[in-house]
Amino acid sequence: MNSAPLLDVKDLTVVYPDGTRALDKVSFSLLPGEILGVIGESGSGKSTLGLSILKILPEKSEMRGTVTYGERSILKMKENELRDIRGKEIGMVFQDTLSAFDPLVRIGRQIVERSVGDSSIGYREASAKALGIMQSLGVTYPESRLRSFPHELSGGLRQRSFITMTMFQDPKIIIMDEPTTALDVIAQIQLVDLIKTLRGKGMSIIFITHDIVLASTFCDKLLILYSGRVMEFGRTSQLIDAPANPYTEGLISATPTLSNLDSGLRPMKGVLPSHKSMPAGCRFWPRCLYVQEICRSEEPPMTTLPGDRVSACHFAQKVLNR
Amino acid sequence: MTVMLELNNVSKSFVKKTGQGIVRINAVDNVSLSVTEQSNVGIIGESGSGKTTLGRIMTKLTEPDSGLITYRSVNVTGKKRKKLSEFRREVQMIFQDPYSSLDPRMSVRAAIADFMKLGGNEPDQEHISRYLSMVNLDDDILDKRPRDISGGQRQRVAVARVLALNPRIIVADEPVSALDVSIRSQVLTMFQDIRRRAGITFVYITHDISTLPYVAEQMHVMYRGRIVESCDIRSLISEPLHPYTMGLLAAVPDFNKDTADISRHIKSTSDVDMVPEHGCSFYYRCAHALPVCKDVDPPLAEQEKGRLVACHLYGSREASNGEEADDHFRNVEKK
Repeated sequence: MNSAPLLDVKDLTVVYPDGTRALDKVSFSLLPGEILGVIGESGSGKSTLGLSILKILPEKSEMRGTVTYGERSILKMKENELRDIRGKEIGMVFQDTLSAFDPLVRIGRQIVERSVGDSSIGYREASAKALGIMQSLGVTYPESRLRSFPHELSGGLRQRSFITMTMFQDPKIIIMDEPTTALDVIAQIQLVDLIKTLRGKGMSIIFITHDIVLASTFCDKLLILYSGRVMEFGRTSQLIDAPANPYTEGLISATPTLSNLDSGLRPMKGVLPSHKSMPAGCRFWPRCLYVQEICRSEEPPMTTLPGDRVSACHFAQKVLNR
Repeated sequence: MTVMLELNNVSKSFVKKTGQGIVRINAVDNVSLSVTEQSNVGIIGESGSGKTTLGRIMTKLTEPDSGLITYRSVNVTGKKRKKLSEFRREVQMIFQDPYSSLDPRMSVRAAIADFMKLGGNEPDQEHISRYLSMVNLDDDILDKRPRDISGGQRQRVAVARVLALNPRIIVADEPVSALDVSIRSQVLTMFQDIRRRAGITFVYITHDISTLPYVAEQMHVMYRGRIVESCDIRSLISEPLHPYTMGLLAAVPDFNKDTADISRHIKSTSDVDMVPEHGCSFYYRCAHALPVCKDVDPPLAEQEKGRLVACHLYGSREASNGEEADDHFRNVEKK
């Protein structure tokens, strides 16, 4: 694919007002119709990444680097320009859909009201559109769901309603922040089917999760974050079959699956670093099985590897060849 | 192998007020199972399957409406946990959320010492250190409070505290699902160690099948308050019988596997709450349902030694209905 990226993030650094450096020089790009899995554990900055693409961070947060959507630079935009991006071009689905909806307003009204407010579309027309989207998402009895209050719906249905609200404005990109954590395995698979349908409609999706095995089943590319830094970025099959970063390798082998039963559990040693006690050099070195002297003092550069992939490891090529 | 804990036809229902009026929910419906010494039990179910209520009944934190609970051949039904000194020390529960299960004002040392006293032992440094080392923690954590330590460490402290009581059975309700991925397998291997070293029998309650093979042998699959399938872990993974179990297994993601097509077993319906009045409670979601399933609730029946399933597809083997099921699945495969 030679198409130009829809979203291009370069050296994005985010520092919160309390001094926490949540993201550190993060770069990646998203092509049209692509599903990108952003993988990270707590404190990796994965949620911050989603929020900073839409510039909805707490006031006085410091943002450096560039986020380019099409030709436009999101970080340089004013609030009124951002309003045309948020929702309309880039939508977001939050983890906790119960608190994301207004509890006192019926679902249907919440889905259409913003669009009816600032465009020429009428209420009746809008309702018909919402109904159509709900049907295409496989919601049964969509009319009655639209008349329901948020608390009356199950987690899976509420999430579909939220996705309906996001899709209503026909965004090009949908960011989903940990959409599966509150779901059962079965609802989870149904959501994945839904995401694949959205891709079929030409949408790009950023799927933020801690679950590398789930992401590996349907994401086109993976971006692995650790303590605010990109550890590895590339096509899913490359990263899973032959990781070029010890952290990716560790995550894969520490994940219990039914197919690796015989090899047993291979836990990763150590704990996640906190923002107060960030190790010097590579942030992963205290837990790395292959740590060398240089890792403790020097931050590893982004190494570009064959196949259009990058890894932040002093020994990326060696890890890959092993 | 001695039977430690036995549940006989226990049921528990709750009353829930909804917009449509008052609804009675059978959280646990006529469940029988036994926990045998040194054979860890896994209980699998989605949210709302009643698995947590079952765990609470096993530890007598919740009293069932009916049924019998026997612990080491003594009937403990209806007796207050407080009055059962042996039971309440030997049967323990650990919870999903390590953040709320520890007292925020107590140091790690105090939390463990407290439980040692409860178990009738005088706390001393040597024992406290030993319990900590069993959960792979160092002594330098002793004077910290819950807020100063990570989620994985908190869950370990919660386990160390329970170990201080010298329990025989630990019921663990989703013990790793709140933990980070890289920490999860550390905690799972810790459970394996404890079991080997302390001879404790675990009951794991979870919705995540992929963690179970590492920690448990005897499996029970729950659906809407009932056990729909019971067998050992190997059979469950290689040859599930109940359509619900087949769907659950197919839904488990794996590396180098495309997203599963679970619709072969579980129909995609958002109306998961619909249940026929008399028939199988899985009827409306089941892709293999037969006409009989709508009208007759299938009993949990033994298929072969140690394998129980509540499904009409298997009927009774003697009446050669089992072949019917084989034919049925052969046809499904063809489709």
